[in-house]
Amino acid sequence: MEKKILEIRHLRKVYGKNKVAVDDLSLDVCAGDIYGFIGQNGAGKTTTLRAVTGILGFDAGDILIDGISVKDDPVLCKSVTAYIPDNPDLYEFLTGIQYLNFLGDMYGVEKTVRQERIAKYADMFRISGDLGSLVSAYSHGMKQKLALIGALMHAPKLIVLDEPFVGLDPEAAFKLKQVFREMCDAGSAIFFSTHVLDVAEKLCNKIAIIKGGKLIASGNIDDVRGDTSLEDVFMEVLENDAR
Amino acid sequence: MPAKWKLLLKVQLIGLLNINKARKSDDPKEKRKTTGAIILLSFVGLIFLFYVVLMALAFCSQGLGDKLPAMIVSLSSLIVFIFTLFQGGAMLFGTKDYDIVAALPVSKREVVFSRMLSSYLVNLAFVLIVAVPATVVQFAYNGFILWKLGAIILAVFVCPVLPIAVGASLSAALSALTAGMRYKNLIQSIFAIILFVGIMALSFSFSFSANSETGADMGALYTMLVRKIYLPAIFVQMTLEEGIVWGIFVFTAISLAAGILFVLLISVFYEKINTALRNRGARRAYKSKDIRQTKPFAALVKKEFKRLFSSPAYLLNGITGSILLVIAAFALLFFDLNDLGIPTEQIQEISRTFGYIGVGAMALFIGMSCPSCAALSLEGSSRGLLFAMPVSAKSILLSKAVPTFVINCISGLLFSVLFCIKMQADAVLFILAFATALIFSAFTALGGIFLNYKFPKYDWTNETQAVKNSVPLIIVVFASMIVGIAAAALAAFFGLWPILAMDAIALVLTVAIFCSFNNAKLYV
Repeated sequence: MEKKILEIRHLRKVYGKNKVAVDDLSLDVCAGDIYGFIGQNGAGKTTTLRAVTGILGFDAGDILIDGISVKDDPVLCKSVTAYIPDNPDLYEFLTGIQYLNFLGDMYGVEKTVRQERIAKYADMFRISGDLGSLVSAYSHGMKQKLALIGALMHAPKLIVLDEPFVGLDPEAAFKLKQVFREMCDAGSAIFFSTHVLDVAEKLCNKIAIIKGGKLIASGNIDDVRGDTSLEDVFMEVLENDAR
Repeated sequence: MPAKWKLLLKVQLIGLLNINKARKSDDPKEKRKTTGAIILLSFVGLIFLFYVVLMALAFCSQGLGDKLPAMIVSLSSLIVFIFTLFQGGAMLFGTKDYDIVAALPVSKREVVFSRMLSSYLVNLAFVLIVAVPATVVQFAYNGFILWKLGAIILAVFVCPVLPIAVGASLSAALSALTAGMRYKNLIQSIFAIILFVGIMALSFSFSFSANSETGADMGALYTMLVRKIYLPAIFVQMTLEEGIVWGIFVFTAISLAAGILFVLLISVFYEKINTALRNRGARRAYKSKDIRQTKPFAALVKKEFKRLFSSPAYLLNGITGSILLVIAAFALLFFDLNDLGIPTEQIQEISRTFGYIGVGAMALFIGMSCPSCAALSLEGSSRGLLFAMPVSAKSILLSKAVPTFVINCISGLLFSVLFCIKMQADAVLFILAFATALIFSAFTALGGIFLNYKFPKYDWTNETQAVKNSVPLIIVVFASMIVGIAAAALAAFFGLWPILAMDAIALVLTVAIFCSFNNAKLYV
């Protein structure tokens, strides 16, 4: 049986008095999964991802990471999770290396392991020479790469990413996919939102479609897609709802 | 269609005052927070009003009512100048919305004008809080004269313009000069601190020289002070005291001319400075070095200190009280109790009373230094990064209180040592001064972050909005002023007890706040 890394149970989040952002959403992400989360703008993707990472409270349901409830022990859950938001607003007053060291300290990454991983990923994403510069001097893509290195540094069991491919150059996007696969082979799980259906189709083994805060479809990509393309399925879901 | 600067101003004020969050949000929590903030601010405002009225009454009862408006103009102008200088160019340059605004079909002149106007309105609000009650008291005491009211209104409304123009010009010049430098923020902060210390030193020297020049004549002393603190206020004085009507018009003309000149001049360089600031051509090739590993809490504290020193607006607004305390401590080196000509048998008694008053005043200055009351707000759009880390909310909040505690402790203890030595203090005063420095440093640090936790402002476009115009800052600064002044004044009559009571209350509140952090939760 597959080991569940992330279990979302009947999640419900309401903003204000009555704006239901996510309603009765349940899904499981297992070790080795690259799980794509797709939906229109405002469907509830970012709300779900933020709730999973423990930075947004929710009104009902529960979220378990590696069997531990985010409600009961948020700090422990966060220690095995990495989160990269859609807009990499990093600490601009730190240099790249200071930022990575800060994360290393926060996640308790041992010094030699830290150095080794920083060197590996910084070389891979070609920003080694820029680590001494202030983050404020980085382009959007470079910030995205730095955020990725920071997320990978503590070898998390679960990586949660909001639109990870936005702003990355083609080479970095290719390498990121490689890293995703390596991490999953090592037993981690990836849960990410995307609007790029092609990427989801080629990269993910599982997919979930969310609309108006409700889960419309989820499961193995072949089961969800059937004989058509993911794009066709997605459009069909939208059209069915419009009728 | 309204002028474009009006639209820009409207958007800036909406952001500055958080109007939309209060009005449009259907989240009951937001409504409760807004109501709570209004109640707290009203309470602080009422007490402040009480103080202004008392001060005005004291002025009028000494027959100095006529000097009050010019004194208000003079002191307000100095404070507006210092506040503007402390924004470190944040009012004009390096704002997060620069790209949006720069892409709009609006002239640079209108952009600069709208930004200056928003700063003017904030400063005017501050001047009005002091001027309106003081003027009412003055007229109640001396009788109402219509033309004088007109002159006072004109003086009050134009008085922030010149200090804003000069302060913002100096900040702009500093921003332009340091734009290409790697440590530009630190350099800007150091320059602004030097300037601030220089101004304070000059003010002190003016006060002393005015005192010696005018002897015991209080009227002449205040006239001298008004002129020396802020020279253009001389024209306000001419009109209101000597009846020379053109004086107020000259004052108005000088202020407005400075404002116009500022807008015209800065709009020429506006784009260049912004571009230079954003290019940040200070990259260096990085070579891998040995790294140091620390505990999570230490890493958080280190980050907080880096944040504090990365922003001139944050640093200068945050540590003003500490700087003043250090200046006062060093000024004490030139003070000798024996030079006051007090009979030897009375020295011990007088030094003890002065000592208690000084300890109360120290609490006031410590309360004025509260970077922690903006520390959480400054996380802004990157707060998700911090809240997602595997540390408790308590650790995050406490780490944000540490810089405030450390800075206040250092300045407070330094002041305490020198003050107690110069006051020939006994053991009781020594212990009281040290305890007050420690308790108030902890109280200010934890109180600041507690208020910021309750009233965060994450959606700012420039740091000044989070640092200077926040509910926590207003509450902390005014509350510490009220408590400090009250304790110092009461200490003059009742000695040790008011200070002890103040310390005890602060200690209880500090412990309560510390314990409340056990249940804190930080969400985006």
